[in-house]
Amino acid sequence: MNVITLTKHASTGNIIQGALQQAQVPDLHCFTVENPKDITNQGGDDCVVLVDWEGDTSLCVAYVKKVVENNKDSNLPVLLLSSKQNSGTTAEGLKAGACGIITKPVEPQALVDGINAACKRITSKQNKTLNVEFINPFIEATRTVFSTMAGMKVERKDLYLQKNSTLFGDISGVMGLSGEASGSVVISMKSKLALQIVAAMLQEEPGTEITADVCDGLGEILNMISGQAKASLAKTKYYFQISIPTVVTGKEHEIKHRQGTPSIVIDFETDKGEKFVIQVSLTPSSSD
Amino acid sequence: MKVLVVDDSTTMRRIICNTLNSALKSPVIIEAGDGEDGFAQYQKNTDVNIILTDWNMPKMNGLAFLEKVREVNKEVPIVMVTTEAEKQNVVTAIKAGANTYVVKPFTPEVLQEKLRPFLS
Repeated sequence: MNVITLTKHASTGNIIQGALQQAQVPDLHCFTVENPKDITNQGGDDCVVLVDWEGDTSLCVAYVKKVVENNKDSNLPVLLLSSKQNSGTTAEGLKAGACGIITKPVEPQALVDGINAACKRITSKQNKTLNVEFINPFIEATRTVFSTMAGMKVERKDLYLQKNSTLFGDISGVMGLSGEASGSVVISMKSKLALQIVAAMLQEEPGTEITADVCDGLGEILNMISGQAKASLAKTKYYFQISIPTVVTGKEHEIKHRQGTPSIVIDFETDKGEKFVIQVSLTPSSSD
Repeated sequence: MKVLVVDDSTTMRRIICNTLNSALKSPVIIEAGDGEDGFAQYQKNTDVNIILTDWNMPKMNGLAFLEKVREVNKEVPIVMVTTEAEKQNVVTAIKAGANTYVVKPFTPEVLQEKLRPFLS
């Protein structure tokens, strides 16, 4: 993560760096610059800019506009770093193109959360141009399978490109896809939701621990989601064949995808407020 | 009534068994986890009244299992219960000798309705 602080005060940059180090952000590189023209994609893809919202408001607005304009191709996230007494003018910064506000004095976790939220928002914005031809069938299939087999209404939330291989939950079903298009599909959730789903499928009371039966049930859910999505994608370049699902458990487990294949994550929420994700990585074989 | 249920998912077998237990009075249900085991069970239980089989399974898939059963028995009703929903797959299964086809996901009511002609 590259964090660029645009400020006249070197001490502000030091505070940001200290807070992020305290929050143990991995691969952290902090830079402090005084002029917006110095910010031109120097941070690469995994980068965020914090603009110190202090002093002349019109100058701060100009700075935000300059950073946004200079980096419009990379959709660089810009956050405002504002004290509470300056919060009355931050709306102008947001209007100029900033996507969030971090309040000073900076709390390490709030800073990390703010940066993560901004990066995710920017990624989602970029994803609006992604080809949804193969994503929508997975969304629709997820809704149908949860509703039909477990009597649960699920709502699609965010959709974004996966940045790392750590999954959301502590239990995940994984299925390889092959044929005219190839890749993988993953469903990941917390154990509590997996227990509820499988119990609902079997019309039983939920258990308390992940058993082989729960893993099997989650694999079958993934099987049905993939099967229905596959049928919707028949006669398209994204048509694929499914395989036998496998289930992985454990805190913060990782699943690697084939390099160069974009992996799209769809956040879902059940009517009881439980969250889970579907992650789809699919490329037409002809483009290999 | 004696029923053979072939599916690699224990959860799906239990869902199907629950439906059969609701629809039938004291059914005898034999379970198998793949096509190979399914055919072995069939050979031990050639008097089964109906067979329900998944398509995608390890060792031997449901289509190959269906074809093997049809080599020795052209009469026993065979129901494909599968995620393979494309029309071409339905046609392939029916041509191979499936009597009817149930696409997952399904509600117990849908499964019962599909099985009704074969359960009387």
